Amino acid sequence: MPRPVLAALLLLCSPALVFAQQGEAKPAATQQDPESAYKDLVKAYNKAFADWRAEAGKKVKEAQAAGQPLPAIAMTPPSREFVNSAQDLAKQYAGTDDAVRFLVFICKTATKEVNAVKKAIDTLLEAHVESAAIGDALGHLEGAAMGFGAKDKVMTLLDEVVARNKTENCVAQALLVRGALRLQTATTDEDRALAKADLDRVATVTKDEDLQKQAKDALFEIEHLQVGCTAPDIAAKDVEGVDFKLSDYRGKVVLLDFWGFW
Amino acid sequence: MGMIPHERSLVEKWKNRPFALIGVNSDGTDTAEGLAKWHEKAKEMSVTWRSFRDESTDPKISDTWKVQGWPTLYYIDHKGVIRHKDVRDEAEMERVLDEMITAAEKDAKK
Repeated sequence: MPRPVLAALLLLCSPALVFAQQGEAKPAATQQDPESAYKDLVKAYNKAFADWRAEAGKKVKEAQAAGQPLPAIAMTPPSREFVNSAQDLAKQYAGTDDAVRFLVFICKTATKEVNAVKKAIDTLLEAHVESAAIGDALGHLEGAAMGFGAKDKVMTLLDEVVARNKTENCVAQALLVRGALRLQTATTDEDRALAKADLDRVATVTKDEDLQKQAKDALFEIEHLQVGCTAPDIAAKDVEGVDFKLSDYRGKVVLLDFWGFW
Repeated sequence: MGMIPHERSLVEKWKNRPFALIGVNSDGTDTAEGLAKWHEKAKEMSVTWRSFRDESTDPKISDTWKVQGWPTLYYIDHKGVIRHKDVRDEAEMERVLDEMITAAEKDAKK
């Protein structure tokens, strides 16, 4: 992917996607409860992210207009000070369910803080494997696993959650993430079979429809979108509004290209 | 978008062989305005090949195909089987496609 596209994607990414809006944060109390400490942290981060995006967007446009390479700011969203705050808060609430979300915050926001991410995963592994609050955290670890070279750590954490956590949805989420990670790094049919087994198991451990659908979608990818699979047919309209099918082109080699001018 | 000149050259090079470049375009051509804009760009960049309109199915084609980044490429052989994904290097693209096209021609002669 050409670098400008990458930057454009990063700039398009809204902080609301990174963090669901947390509502108005209360003014900081002297003795803050973990809930409002978290809200304040997210609010401050969202503001910094929005500021960064505005500034970086401007600089990128200027550079493109001048035919210059991308400015460094495009690749450096805010992170360090927020990761540090989250580390302090995770320490303050160590061992409680409240610590989980600060640890997850670290994994979601870190850009270069590899050690902080690894430490956060270690802490989740040491203290929170059986916590009912760990489920939502797991979905955010896929990026950390791939982006920070922490795949083995994350896999260990997922194995432990699957084996020891008593909350159905936590186990289901662990299976979903483990299946996705296994698929992403699969090199053999055996790897893919393991990924499929995890995803198949999701429907047996939870009745949650959203989780079941996520598993079904991921299974579709394994069963229909891998090299060696017959491509799913597409019956749709072309740009001009005329109906046609991918299978109309049987007999020809097709290079299918998902693209746009933007 | 950076790939368009190379893609155009492939379409030209293999116009008499069993090969088709098919796009799935996400430019929002379902409005008259979007379509007009698309035509303008397509003319400017000489996009001569056919594209599905991504938003013309529900869910979108790119969602069904689990596309996570653009551009995404699938190499589908003459029997409809996915043979490669996301080969982007121009020389490598031509090598794998030529191999696939040759196989298609061989089968057609049988």
